[in-house]
Amino acid sequence: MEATYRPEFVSALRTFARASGVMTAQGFEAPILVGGAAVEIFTASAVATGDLDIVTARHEAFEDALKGLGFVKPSGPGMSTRGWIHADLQLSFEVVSNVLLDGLADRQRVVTLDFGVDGTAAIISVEDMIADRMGNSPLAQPRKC
Amino acid sequence: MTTASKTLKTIPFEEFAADMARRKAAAGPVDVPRNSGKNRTESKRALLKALEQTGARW
Repeated sequence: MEATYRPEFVSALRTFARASGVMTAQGFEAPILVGGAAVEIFTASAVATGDLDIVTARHEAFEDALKGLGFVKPSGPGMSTRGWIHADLQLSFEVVSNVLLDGLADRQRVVTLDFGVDGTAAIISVEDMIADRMGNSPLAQPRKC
Repeated sequence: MTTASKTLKTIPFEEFAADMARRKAAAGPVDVPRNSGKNRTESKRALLKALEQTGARW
């Protein structure tokens, strides 16, 4: 049933699961996938991304895990980024926060997907994702009367 | 220290994908707007530029 998703995206999720395994093997909490890639999961690839946003309090440990998987930090003019990239996989990761939704999300709602030998991947819940997007909507901002 | 794999329900990916396929079929065609990119950080723009240079076309 993996055909529900693009093969490249499934490969990206498996890579994330392997990086997560390196983290949890050290006793750290699993990093959580958020942003566009989480949207791709919950829309069955109706939108596509190769840029995976991650939340983890263990930024350095996650980057070490990425390095171990062959990721590099882009360098050169105009390449000042906190993200990491894998040229062969055409995939990037960036840690965007150390706390899930600034602490407003319940970690117990996080969805954990099992990829067998590649390990597990933690994904922000669709409910928290929707709540976050609604909170950022102009309609949610206080209006001046 | 707790880990997600110890405290949360874990779903086999194949099972999750099958459920998503069922929901997608039940919902019918849905237009999902792409991120406009207006709020991207400089770091994100640089990363996407580097990703594009690998030949990636998402």
